Amino acid sequence: MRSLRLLLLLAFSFQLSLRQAQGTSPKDTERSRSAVYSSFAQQDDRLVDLNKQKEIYFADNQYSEFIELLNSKRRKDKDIASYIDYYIALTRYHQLKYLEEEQLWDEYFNKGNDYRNDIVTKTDKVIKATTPQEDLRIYSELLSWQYHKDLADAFEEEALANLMSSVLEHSKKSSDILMIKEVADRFLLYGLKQEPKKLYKVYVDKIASTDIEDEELTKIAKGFYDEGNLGLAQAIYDVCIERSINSKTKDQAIDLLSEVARLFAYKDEGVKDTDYAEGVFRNLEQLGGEEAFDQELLYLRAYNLEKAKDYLKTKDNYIDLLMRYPKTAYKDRVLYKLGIIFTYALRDIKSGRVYFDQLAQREINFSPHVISGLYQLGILSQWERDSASAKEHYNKLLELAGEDLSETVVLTRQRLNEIDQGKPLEYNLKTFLNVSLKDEYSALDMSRVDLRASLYKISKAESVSVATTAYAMQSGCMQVDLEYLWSGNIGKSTPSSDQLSFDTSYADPGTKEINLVVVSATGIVERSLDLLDVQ
Amino acid sequence: MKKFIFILAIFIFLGGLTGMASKPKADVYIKRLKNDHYQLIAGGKVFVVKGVCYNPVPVGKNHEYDWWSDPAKPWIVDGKLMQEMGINTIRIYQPGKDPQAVKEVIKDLYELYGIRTIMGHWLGFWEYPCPFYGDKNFQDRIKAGVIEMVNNYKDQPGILMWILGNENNYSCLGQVNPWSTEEIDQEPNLQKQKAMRAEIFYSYVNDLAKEIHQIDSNHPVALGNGELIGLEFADKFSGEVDLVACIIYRGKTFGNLFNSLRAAFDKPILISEFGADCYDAYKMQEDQNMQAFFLESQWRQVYENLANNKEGAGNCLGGAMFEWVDEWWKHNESSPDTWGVHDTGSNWSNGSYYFDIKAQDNKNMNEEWFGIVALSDDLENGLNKRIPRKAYYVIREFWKNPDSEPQTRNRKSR
Amino acid sequence: MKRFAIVLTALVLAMPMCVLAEEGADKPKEFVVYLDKNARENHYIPSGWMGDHGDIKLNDQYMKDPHSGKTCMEFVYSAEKVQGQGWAGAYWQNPANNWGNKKGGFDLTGMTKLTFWARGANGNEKIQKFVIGGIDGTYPDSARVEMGPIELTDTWKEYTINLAGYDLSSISGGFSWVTTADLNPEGATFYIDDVKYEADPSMKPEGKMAEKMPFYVFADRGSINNHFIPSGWMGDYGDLKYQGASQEDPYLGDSCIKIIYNGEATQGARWAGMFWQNPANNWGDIDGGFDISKATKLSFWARGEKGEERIEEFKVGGIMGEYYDSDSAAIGPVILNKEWTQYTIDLKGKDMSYIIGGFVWSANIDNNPEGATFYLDEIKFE
Repeated sequence: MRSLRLLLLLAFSFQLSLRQAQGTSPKDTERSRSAVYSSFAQQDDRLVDLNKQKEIYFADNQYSEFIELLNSKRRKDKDIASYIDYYIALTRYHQLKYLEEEQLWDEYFNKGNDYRNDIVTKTDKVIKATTPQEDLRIYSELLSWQYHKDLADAFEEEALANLMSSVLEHSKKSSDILMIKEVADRFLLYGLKQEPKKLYKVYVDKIASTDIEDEELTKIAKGFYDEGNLGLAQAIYDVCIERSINSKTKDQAIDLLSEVARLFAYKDEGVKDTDYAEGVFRNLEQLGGEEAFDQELLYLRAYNLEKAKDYLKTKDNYIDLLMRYPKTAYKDRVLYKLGIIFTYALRDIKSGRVYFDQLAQREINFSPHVISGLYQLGILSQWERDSASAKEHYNKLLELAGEDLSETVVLTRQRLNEIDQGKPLEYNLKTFLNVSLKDEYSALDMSRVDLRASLYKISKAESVSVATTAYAMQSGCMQVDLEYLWSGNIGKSTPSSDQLSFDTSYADPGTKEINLVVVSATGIVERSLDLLDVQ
Repeated sequence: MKKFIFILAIFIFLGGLTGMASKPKADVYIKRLKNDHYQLIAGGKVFVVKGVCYNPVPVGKNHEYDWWSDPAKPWIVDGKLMQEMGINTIRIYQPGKDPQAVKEVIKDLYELYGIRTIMGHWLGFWEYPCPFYGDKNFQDRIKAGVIEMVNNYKDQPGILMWILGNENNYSCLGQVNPWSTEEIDQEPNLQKQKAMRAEIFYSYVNDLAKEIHQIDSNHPVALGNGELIGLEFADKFSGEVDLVACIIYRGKTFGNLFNSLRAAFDKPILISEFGADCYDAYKMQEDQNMQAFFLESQWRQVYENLANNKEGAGNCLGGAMFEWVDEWWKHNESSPDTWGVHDTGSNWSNGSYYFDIKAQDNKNMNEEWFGIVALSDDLENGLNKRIPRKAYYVIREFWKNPDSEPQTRNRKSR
Repeated sequence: MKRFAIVLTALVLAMPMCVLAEEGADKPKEFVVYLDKNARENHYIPSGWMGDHGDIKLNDQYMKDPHSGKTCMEFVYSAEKVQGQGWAGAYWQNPANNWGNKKGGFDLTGMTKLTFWARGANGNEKIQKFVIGGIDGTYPDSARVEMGPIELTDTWKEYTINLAGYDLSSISGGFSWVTTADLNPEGATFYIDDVKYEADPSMKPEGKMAEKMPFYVFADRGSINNHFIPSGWMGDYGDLKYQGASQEDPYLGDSCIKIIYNGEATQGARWAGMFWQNPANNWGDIDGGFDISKATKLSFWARGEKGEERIEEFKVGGIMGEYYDSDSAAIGPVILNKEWTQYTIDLKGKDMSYIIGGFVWSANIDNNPEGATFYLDEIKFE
């Protein structure tokens, strides 16, 4: 067991550092494959040397030269002949890939058959000379399968079946669980689905059953997270969490859960999984209750749900935040978001107004959200045809905003102009308000359209892309032409109705709501909204 | 006396026999087998046309360039590469202006590399304002040009066959270079108008073929045709032609082409122009794999339909793929500034070449990228350096072993 | 505390982990969509209403005469076209309202068929199709399999969708039905029960079978026999209007197709055309060809509103893409008459074994300076 841990750590950290050095694109991952084979290389100095030499020759694409070296070693060191055979096959494989990438067709075609023959005969030889318990067997079968898979030939299926069988047999007795993951990773790279799932499960089960220390296990989980392998990271974090709940103190378990939740909660850059994060938050709540959440964590939970577009739960958590931390620095922002969520996402204009009113009645500290709250109250009144109230809100807004917050001021002036000239509310905005607030549109639950911004926390003047994808356009009928009615606070851009995406930026800080109504020739298809925070 | 008459009779008889024996068989002819399959016989042997369309315009020049007289002699360099690949035929759309220069090219290719030449004639298709096939003067003038061509080169060893026209049938339908006559214009029924034009054109080609046969019995005469369109009229009016030379761009498969031809106009077929470009207009980069994939698939089908293959129609004589080298002038013919630039623009669209059909406006056919050999700006002995593309090698390997598994793959297909 | 920890552990382990399959020594033999209201085995939620969703009412605990258990699902489709679409449908989704924007696909690998029981209130309710999978989006389903059209009977009947050979590794759209007002002008009330996936080893992947003749492209607006969808609008598609249920003097039955080509060159192409495709919008990128090899011709009736409209080409086949029509055949140009006239496209000698583009017409402005309005009816392969 101890050796297992050591092995895991050694091989894993070696692999990690190599990945970090070489990047994790599929091409780079291909080239770094060779490094992981150090597990059997560790057993014999000659193999360690061979591996080092391989790296040197491969770096310079001197494949034929390396084959010559291998053949000379084969004559001298007959007891490692199988390893040498494997390396010959591996070298030819990489050589063919190199020739194809560089379009060196002369050699690729003139010598290609010979090189392919080397791959097939050498891997066959090694497979016959080894048992599934030996790592060399697995790597040979892996290479053989990859070769046949690349060619998509008649042997591919059989090679896959043999490989799976050997790996599973190998995993029963061997302590080298990294190799299982290596094979699973390769399967995933090739787009297979069932086989990697099966192997990852074996891998995680094996890890869970060892006495590897919790800190090391957490490191492994973090390593997969850093690689972007979410599924595996989550599976191992689940094991970590289970262990910490069972064996650690409550505080330690809470710390771990908080850390994991933060890792997976929504953020603009980097890895995230809002569903998984909320799952962890739920567990944290069950374990530690309210006390487990400081205001940052509580805000993060609500924000995560907001980005997952689960507005019902979002509002519960924002309300919770305000109740537990009435002086929170997020107060105005949260009040505004609650106003928007209640009014437009949940169709509860009455509750929404309550939150906007809390902002509007502020007598000091007029944050940008106060201004925006007044604007919302204004347009709601205007939509309800209560021009007097609308004007009142707008005028107060102009008074408070002064020279600042030019975007909201511009919008406000447009609204006032509409009222003064007896014009209706701007068409796109009015349509959005209609479909969001009128009962007859209650079936439009924002699920048929996905509205996404490239960033949700931006600085002033920072560019952001907003795009929508419409789903569920299945009708069996002819191509549906859609119109996109954009409204709300969309910054300096003025997208037209045929644009399903646009770039914009904002001059003012605050929370910006982007509204969308999607219309087809036969009527309104869906609505959606999104919220951005401008610092 | 009786004895004298007897000996005379024997002499006459023997003389007759030797006379028959000494009549030479045509150098190139088409053989119809017992199973109704067709084979091309050249020099006494079965000849599968492994051909390529040849027009080696240097970078910076256009189609008016007289490469036949180019002192750098591109055909010497190209011929060697072609021979190494396995090409046995080049297709020429129309001979150059100088018959001596043309003869030299034909001779060099044949004597040095064993490569034969298919010689064609546009039949005035590109004349301005249109090819007046309904006009006797036009017909006569073109005929004179065709007969001159045949007379010039019929005795040149290395000639394989003549092709009359290319896609001239499209002019009968009004699609390209439309022409008409007063009589046709007065006909109210559009289908009948089509039929009248087709009759004129295909009868004219028949007439040309007949005249060629009279002066040259050594080489078959092909009717150049775009797709199989109009061949139901050729069946009625062009019986004199020996084969059909079709231009087909259907992507990875010729579909039901060979069987359809049997049904419409039972003559053997040479696919005289087919292929794929190697520029992915969607990803906006060269894609040699894409070209190799289409060409390999196309050649496999050519071979499937050669004589004595039970799977196919048995009426294919081979093909001439388009084309040997890139032509850098084609995308913007009228702008000399662009002839030295390898333009990546496209003016037409073909959904069969589906890899890059999602290009802007679906324009995915890149005229300057059809070569199986690329040209470099760099010169080597006065010629743009030739760089064979993947398709060159893939087809080379295929011809060595036509029964092998495909070297190029596209798994998602029916 | 320990008990709490155990419960919590169970909760943690029960968290959805979509990467890992639920593999065990005993592979499940079935995966239930609906047995009874609130049955523990149920999966998916009939939340995704499409088209004229206002026309649909659902009672998922209808207790009168279920197929088995206590309840079945009753759908009432009013065909009122409340949202103006003319069609409606319902998707069983996981999670609810997941149109592909959330992770929710179940791994149904090993299941080889979906079976369900259905009946109509009266016995002639027409469902255009039943579908499994087919959800697109960020988290798309791994397969889409359709069956239909189906005319229900007034007694419970079992239906099976063969799933052998399909990749069912991620299915969030577990079941779905779609129908149209044209198929059910008076609406339709129907019942569904016992919907489940089953792992039946005897199911084999279905190959394509040659279609029986006559094989209709268009018979009548409500015809269950119609095939192909007039979805491929080409050239100046903005110049086109299509009415699939015109009652202006149809040739046969109660309706015909009316096409209005206004000749305004909206897209600047100066020509326009329409492809009937299977499935809709398939330009050769989806495997959807019918085997119509038994057909010797395609016949159809056409007339022009004024007479003298010139259609450049009527064609069968010709879709070329990754999936390609096995052949094509065309007639044209055709000058239409004011009276119904029958036309035939001869298919003898043509390979009709795989056809995505069942029918196509094209016309241009040069030959129709004022556009062209014309009618089509009884388009069929025979």
